[in-house]
Amino acid sequence: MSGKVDFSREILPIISDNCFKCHGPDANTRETDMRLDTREGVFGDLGGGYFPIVPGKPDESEIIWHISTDDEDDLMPPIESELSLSSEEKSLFRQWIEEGAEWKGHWSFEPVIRPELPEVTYQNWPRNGIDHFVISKLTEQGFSPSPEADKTTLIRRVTLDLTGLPPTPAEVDAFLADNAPGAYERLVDRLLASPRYGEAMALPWLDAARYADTDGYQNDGPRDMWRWRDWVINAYNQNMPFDQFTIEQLAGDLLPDPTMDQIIATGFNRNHRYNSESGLVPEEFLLENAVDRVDTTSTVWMGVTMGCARCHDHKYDPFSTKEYYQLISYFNSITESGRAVKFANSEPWITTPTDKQLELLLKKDERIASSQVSLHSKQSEIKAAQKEWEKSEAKNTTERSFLDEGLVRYYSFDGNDSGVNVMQGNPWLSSGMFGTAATLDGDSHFVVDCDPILVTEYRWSISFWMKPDSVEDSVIMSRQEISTTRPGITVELKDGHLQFYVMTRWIAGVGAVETHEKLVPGEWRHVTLTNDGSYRAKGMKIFLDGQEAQSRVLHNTNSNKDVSAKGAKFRVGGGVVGNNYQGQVDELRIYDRTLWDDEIAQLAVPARIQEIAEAKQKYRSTAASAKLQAYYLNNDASEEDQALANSLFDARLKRLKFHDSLPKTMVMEELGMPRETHVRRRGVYHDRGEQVERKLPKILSLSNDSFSQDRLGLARWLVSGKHPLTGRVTVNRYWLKYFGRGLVKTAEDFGIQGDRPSHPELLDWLADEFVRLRWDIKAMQKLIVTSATYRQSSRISPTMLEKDPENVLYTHGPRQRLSAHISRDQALAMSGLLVEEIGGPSVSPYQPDRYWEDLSNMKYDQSDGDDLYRRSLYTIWKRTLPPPSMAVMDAADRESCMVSSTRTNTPLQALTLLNEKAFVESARNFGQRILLEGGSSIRDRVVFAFRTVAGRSPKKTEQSLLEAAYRDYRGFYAEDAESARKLIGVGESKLNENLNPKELAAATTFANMLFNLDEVVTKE
Amino acid sequence: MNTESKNHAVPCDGECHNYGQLSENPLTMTRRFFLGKAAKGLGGVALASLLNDNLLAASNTAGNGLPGLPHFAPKAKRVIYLFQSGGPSQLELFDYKPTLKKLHGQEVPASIFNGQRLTGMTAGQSSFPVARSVYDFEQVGKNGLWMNTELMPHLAKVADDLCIIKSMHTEAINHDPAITFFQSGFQIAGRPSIGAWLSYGLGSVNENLPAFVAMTSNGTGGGGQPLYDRLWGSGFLPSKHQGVKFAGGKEPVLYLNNPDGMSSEVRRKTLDHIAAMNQMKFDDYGDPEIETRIAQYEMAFRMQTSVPELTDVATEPESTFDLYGEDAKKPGSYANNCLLARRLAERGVRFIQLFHRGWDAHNNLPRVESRQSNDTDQATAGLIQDLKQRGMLDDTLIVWGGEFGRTVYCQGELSPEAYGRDHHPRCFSIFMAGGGMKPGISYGETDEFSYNITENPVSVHDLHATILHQLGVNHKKLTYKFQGRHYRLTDVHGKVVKPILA
Repeated sequence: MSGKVDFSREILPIISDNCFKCHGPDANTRETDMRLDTREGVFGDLGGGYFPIVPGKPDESEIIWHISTDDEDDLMPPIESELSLSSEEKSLFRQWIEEGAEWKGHWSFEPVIRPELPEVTYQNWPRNGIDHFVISKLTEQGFSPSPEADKTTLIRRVTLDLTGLPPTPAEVDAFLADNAPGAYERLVDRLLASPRYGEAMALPWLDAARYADTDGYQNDGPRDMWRWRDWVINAYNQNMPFDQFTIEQLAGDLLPDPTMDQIIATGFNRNHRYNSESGLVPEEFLLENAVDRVDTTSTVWMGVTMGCARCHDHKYDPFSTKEYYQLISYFNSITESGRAVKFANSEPWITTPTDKQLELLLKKDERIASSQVSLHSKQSEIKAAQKEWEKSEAKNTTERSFLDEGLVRYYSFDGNDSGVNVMQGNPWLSSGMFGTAATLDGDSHFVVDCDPILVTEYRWSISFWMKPDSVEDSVIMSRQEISTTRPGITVELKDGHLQFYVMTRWIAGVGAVETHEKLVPGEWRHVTLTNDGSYRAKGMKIFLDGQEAQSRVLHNTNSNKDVSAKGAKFRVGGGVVGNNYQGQVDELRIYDRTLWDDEIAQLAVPARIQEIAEAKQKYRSTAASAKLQAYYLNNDASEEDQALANSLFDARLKRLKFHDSLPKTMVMEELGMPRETHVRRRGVYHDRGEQVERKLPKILSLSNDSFSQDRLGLARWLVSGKHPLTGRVTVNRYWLKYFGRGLVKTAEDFGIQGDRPSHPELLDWLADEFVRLRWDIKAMQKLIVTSATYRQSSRISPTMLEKDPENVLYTHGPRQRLSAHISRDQALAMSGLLVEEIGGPSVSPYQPDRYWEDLSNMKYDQSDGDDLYRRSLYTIWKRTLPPPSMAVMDAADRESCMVSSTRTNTPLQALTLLNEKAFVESARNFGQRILLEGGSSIRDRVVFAFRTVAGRSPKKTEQSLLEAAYRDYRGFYAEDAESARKLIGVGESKLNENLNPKELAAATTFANMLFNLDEVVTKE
Repeated sequence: MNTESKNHAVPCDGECHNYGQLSENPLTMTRRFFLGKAAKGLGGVALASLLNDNLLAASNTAGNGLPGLPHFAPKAKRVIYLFQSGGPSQLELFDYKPTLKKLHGQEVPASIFNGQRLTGMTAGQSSFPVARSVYDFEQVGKNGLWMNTELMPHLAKVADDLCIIKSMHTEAINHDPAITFFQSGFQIAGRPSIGAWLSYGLGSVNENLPAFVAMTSNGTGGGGQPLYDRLWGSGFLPSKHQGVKFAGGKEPVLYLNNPDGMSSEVRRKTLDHIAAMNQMKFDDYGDPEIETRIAQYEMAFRMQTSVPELTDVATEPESTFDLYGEDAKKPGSYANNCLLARRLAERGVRFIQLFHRGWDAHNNLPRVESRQSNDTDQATAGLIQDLKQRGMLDDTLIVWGGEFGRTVYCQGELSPEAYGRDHHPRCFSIFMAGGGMKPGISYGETDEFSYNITENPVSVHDLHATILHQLGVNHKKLTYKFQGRHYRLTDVHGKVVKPILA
């Protein structure tokens, strides 16, 4: 045995793996009082003078006896656990105790202490601190570093890494020509300033944040979260410091006077899957949502598998179930319903215009204002004319013509309506509000014709007068199907309160609101109900006598489109279940838009137009005057004045429609009162245990600091600079991005069961440097890519392969297949097809025919034009059926948080790169560039093409092989015009008709071959 | 095509040219083999094992499973899992409840519900009337098993081969969590599917085909519950273990076909050029990943020939279609997928899973069930018979079933002919066949409402444990460390259902 045993590297993993299940942090499965996860447990008296471990004295330590005994009853770990210690592990254990049994906490929970830079032998090699750590370990193992990669390799490597795109030959030339000192650093600065940098950085963040364009369950319906994606890209491009980046995403909504952008940022914790299935129990998914937020936040910022503590105390790491639910309580008090909307964003969401759209919106506001001014400035003229009209023509007016924009049905119940039928009993007409009214006796109802607009997803309004004879529970009116699910709308009296329901399915799809006020019998009241098509109970409003009534939400699960109820009968006086209404209903109006408050006030005026006109002005209420003028301007004013009024109406309507079309984003919004949080036994939603309050996990709570007990406090705790995990975990992910493997290989688990860091001091130095540089993200990227470690050649010698096959020591530079996204983007870039537009909604590039349709209930609406050629970051991500060409290339599936990627090497990937439409179309367009830009000789074309795809010029042997290949393809297509035409017909981009099809087919084939070279699909 | 290669399988030299191989052990690659062939044109090499219909040995000759697996001698070498998505009704198919006729229209007694949760769809229902099945059952086979012979005339004929489990139960009541649970042992997305576990544990028998193939079909009634990539996904296992989706028709595997206008001859040339360039790269850089890539491109080329041959059923004799039904000629149909399942099984694919959509009968259940049965009955029975005739049923485990059953109480309108049933997780029926299961038996019992299990419950974890057991795998020992924890398909549950094993 050589050297002292390292507790955290050699002993703790053995104990953790083999003993913690029964003697670890989980109190419920601890078999005896013996506890091996704490100092007290390990060194404490077991009673009777027995100690688990006696430092220096292995033979007096109970543990040694238990792991060494032949007695099957006493042997640990027990036989039935199917665990066992190797003899090597046993002797390590013994040695550790002999050496004094030094006990430390788990490394990653200990504070970061900035290490000194180690002295190095290759003094000229290090370019920054990173290299000191790397080289000292490298030389310790008997290696020397690899030489720096040549400049063409280096520019291609760093350009792919920082922008996700290859350098152009011109960029390569410029770099080659720059022989002044600092050329490489200047290159890095240029790349960091490129807008493509933000896109490249955003990609792994989107994987971690499980970003997608659909909800991820059952029907996997669409959602809009691209404004959040834009936020991430912009944040990286503007080099937002990581602490701010963290605070805004976790708690932007809780900042004082948050900006729209800060609220958009909180979409981070709304990106999780969200179930809309009708049969679900909302309580269950309120828990699942919070669980996903806690698990994701824990993985991304702390690299701990907090989710293990959901059902039981963590088996390995010091997190109890109680602590888990304490964390849950930071994330479960959101204004969400527990059931996702099936085909749209789920609450809470906000409307989030882009800068451009905001400008347009303001213009529309200005138009409304200017229309108002125009109308107002003519007020005295209009009034004068109106006065004349009141005297002569107002007596000929009808209520039907009042406020008739969007009025799709009007029933006066004056005996002259069409479309009114008696359905049940003997309803009649008797003296009502205006003329006669529908009169219902509790045993009867009318049915009136109605258009199929009264459904959740549309805007509409209903307005009427009512005078109840009784306020017993009853249905005043309804338009509802007769079935167990009863989709439709109803207006009811319940305990005197007025209730308004919009349902797609009882009880899984119901929006319902109720007035605080109780109605009384015998009084005429005016009622207006509006629905704004947003699937939210808060988009349903009740107005009484022209004023919005105080009301409360009864149900808020209306998550589905209403497809079935459009044809149901509109009943006045009753419904499909419940008692019929007793009393009167008059002046029923149905609009296909939501009425504005001023219009609703006018509708509630208890006088007809002619009555108002007849009354002296001083006896007219403001609303009555408004009603009269609205009528006049809409019907009988001069053409010019009518046009003025119309243009105001148009301006308002256009503004509303534009507002409806603006992008919406799901965000975090805190409930007024936090939800009560309970431990859930075994993690099951309905098995409530002890109630808990918000509190940070004990092992990670930082002394001397107090953080507010909300998400904002939690975010500030993470980026306080003292949290032991945030910095380590984050720099490790940056490292992973460049080297393909983190300094801690298990980027998602820094806990006791995770891998130990390969370079613990380097990790801590980087973590400290990150805080010292005030969380400057670009500075950290620059630090890594300008290190000598990163700049090494990626050539691999047999010795390296034998002694360090995974390149843990960094004997050479990184060499890795490009990611799914970058592979496609690179092909598009080289072909000239790439559209470098930043941000915006997701696009739908080529996908195999019927890929969605065969497996789901959604149709794939393929984009056209530029949208076929956007960066893959913008490709629509249907969570249950991700783009197959990306899934096959190991893209994260976005079902849950993913912080480390794998890179496999499979035949299906080969088939994709060879045959997928976007790659073939890119080859065709690159072929076109070869013919147009590559010169006329095969020799020149080969050089041009190879330089474009590989960044370097071909070597002699390569040149001759490639020329021969080109000739072969030419030979094939020279004799096969038909095949040539077919091949160059792939894809929707325009074909250059001036080119010889056979030549283009040959060049296309050549490009297709080049796109599949190992060097081209690899970052070298 | 190189006929010489017919009897000349690819040398077995470790992991590297197996299907979907990660380059974990690249040093064992036979670079010279591939490059030597590349120079002569690799076109037909190594098709041997694909073109050759002989059954391959099911041991891990390819050596790409885990060491020590199988744990014990397997009864079955492969699984064909016929997943019936949407939740078939046990009350209409296997769980005969004649006494319900008398109770039709009456309320289900509260004692039966026993306070259990209902789905959000029917929880608000004011009434829970019993709906009896419109069908009569008959006793079939030597042991007189009760089956609905009207809906399953063909399966009734192979009743002596079926091992019917009437006491399946699950924890989930909605489609997504329920099917995810059946596929991965966990209701929430993220865990590997059962086929991925087996690919990981046992590896592939045929080094030219994936260990795990998935195929989907739609009910003729249309629509149905969506399916998800994750159902055949690899979760946290390396992605090479994910199921590869096969389909009949023009492009059986995504991106298999060369672009229009590019002949196989041209493709062969481009691959030779790619291989030669990559070889030069390897000589310069020494990265074993490059060698793996060369091998994978060759494998891709071989698949271009072998897979269409595999999925082309035109060469099957008419007698095959007498068995599976005429539908088996239609690419994308359930029957066609059943036939492909047999062809894949013959070639040694370890885990073949079909998903047939459309069983979710909330309304008009009799119409739904009869359409679905019409889609699946003959082909399922045909597959069983076909395997039997070929002597393959003994070592092929067939599993048929959905993600949950359906309620005895009616959902939607109740009329003499029409009724619907909601999701029911507490008991439902599946069947297994072949692969060392007891043939011709029925296992487990339910109460007179087919609402609760009265005897021999079988959980999803138990089913998984049993499937693994038949393949020689101890479900407690097939684990994978992820996020610091050793995960397994059966989580911390599951026991092998011994009484149904032959």
